[in-house]
Amino acid sequence: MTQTNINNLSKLSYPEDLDFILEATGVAVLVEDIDRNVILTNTLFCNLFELNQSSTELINHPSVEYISTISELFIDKLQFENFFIETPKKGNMISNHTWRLANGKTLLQDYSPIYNNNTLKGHIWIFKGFQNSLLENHSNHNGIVENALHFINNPIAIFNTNLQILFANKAYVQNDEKRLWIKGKTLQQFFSYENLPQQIATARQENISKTIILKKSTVWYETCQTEDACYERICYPIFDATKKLTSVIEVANDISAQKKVEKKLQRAVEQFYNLANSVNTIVLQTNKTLQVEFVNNLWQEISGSTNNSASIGKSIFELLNVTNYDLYQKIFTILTGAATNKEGILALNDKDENLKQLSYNVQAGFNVNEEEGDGILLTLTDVTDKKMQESHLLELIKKEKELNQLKTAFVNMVSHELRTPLTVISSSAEILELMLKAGKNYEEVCIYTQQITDEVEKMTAFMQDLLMISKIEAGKISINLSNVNVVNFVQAIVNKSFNPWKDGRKATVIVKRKPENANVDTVNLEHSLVNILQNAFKYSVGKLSPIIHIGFSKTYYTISVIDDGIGIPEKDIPKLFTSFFRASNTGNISGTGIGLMVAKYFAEQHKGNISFKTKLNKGSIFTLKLPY
Amino acid sequence: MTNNQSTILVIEDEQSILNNICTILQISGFNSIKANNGIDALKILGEEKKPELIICDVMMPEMTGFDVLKSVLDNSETAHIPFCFLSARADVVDINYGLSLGAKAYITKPFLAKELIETVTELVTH
Repeated sequence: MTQTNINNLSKLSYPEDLDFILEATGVAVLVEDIDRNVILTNTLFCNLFELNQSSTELINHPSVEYISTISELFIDKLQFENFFIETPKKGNMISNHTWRLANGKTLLQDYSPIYNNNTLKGHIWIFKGFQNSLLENHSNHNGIVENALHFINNPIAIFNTNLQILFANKAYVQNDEKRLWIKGKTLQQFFSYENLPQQIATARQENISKTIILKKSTVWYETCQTEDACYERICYPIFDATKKLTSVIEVANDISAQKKVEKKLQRAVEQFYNLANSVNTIVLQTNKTLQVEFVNNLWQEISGSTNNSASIGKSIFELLNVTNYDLYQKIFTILTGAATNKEGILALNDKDENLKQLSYNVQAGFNVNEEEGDGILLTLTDVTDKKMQESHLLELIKKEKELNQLKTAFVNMVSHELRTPLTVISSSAEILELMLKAGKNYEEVCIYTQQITDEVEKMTAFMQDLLMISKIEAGKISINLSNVNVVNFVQAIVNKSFNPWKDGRKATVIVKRKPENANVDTVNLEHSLVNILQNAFKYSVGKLSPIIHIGFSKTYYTISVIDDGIGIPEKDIPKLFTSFFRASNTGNISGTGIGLMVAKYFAEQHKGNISFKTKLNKGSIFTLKLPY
Repeated sequence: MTNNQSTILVIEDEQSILNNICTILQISGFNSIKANNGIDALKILGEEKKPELIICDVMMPEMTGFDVLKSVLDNSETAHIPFCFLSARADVVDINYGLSLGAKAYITKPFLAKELIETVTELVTH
């Protein structure tokens, strides 16, 4: 019988999870079948009327069994018992019947008959209005929880597995009447009633369904674009003692402010990326494991890659394809926080295998995604052209400096080369005057007149050298060839000036093979040879006499001058044939820096050349190689 | 000539100039000793009889006139001898440098015999 009644009740379309509703309602409920046996009740009912049984123990027992215990609470026990027995017989719905209780407080009572297809199926009794009064001494957890939920600012709703609302707190539905009305309704019904967008209701229901199916909490973000608001809605599954999922609690968090910040941050990041793509510097950002997270478009130009996304996720060193310990070290100091900013120069090959000089700056990066960690921000600026310009400029400055030094050396040289013969001339003239006054004879004064003549010749030769330079530089030198015996020609020059030289040493001439005649410009060749021989003597004072080797081969002949002199420092070798240049180890040995330049020029005029071998502090060999 | 007893050491690598200086000194009544370079000069100064004055060129191989002066001043036996440069290096920088080293006079080439004798006379008399 009872079983039949329960089945009947279940056909009344009550929510499946009736127990939970009864427990969550916040009112004391008693449901009876048509014979007034207890079908359902709740803990609140048992607590309210101080019954010693649990709500399930009451089931199938006639309600009248408990009437004497229940009526104990009422001032007018008989009136209550009469009301409780007689009301169902009348079959009229009663709302908010007020009772005065023995403790001086009040209680409201509802009664409703249950009909199905116009047939009476049972009775529902609801006792309410006691939250703040009657249950003071009772541990009504549901009531306390509900009250507590109302005080929470987050919208909270409880749904059964049919997606019907069992409870909604004040933050969910502010209006009290609506909040009562909403119970048992679906969100779609509620949204339809409120004229709210159905898609939001559908989306929320999908989320709740997901929790029911997955039996675990789910999160869903609800954005309301018009209000610029955003909610994080979390659904928690609720299980009963048998671990059966009975309901779902949905809690909403207003994360609008957080979302705004995130949006701003996202915009800032986008702006940064846009900016990074517009600058003439490669910008690379990595995560904490130095995997590339962002690289701007300029990287494509340098690397030749067509797609930046291919670079993402690669190690920074793999991407740059460099092994640079300095860069490693600097990145490490940034990652460990030992420094905030480091700079340096990096060399790498671009897509065309051209070596590029890149100036880099590495600093701590910034990552929106905290899990990825702050890596590094590396900027690379192509300074290849700048470095080349710098190098070119330095070269120009160096040349300018050398030119200035050369100019100073030239002026000093000219001054010295003129002052020395002038000194001889001047002093000789004064001596002559003194001697003539003293009545000295011709032989005695002759030496001084000769000195004057010699020095005038030297000065003239020097002036000719200077003029020669300007002629050579202007390309105005022509050669007059005449056929001479090479050995005789060389020997004559040696005899004239170097046999002996002013320090007494004599040059030795050694001839290899049969002497030959050659067509030479005698003036120019003599000039060249004198210059080479003077150097050999001048830079080997105190050493052995220079030796002249004359060699003849089929198509050319050579004249080599060998000395044991000071040699030429390696750094001076490239400039040795430059006009006015003098080797750095010549010290106070006088000279013009013209001789070798002139010798080279004449050798080339003769379609020959001049070469040399030298060893510092050991000596030099200068060789003229000339065609016949 | 009042100082005809004075002996002057002349250091010069250009033989003609060395001869002419000594001739002018001789005509003016001075004795002179010739040295072709600094090394020879220092050897002469090592001898017992010291000159009353040293006239020295600056630009010479192996040892410059400046180096010679430093060596002369470093030696207590020669440091008192008046030192006069006679050089083709006529730049004021060189003159100042020579005088700052301790030379009593700096005559530039080409020189006049009168100028040389006046300087020599003054240096040997004081």
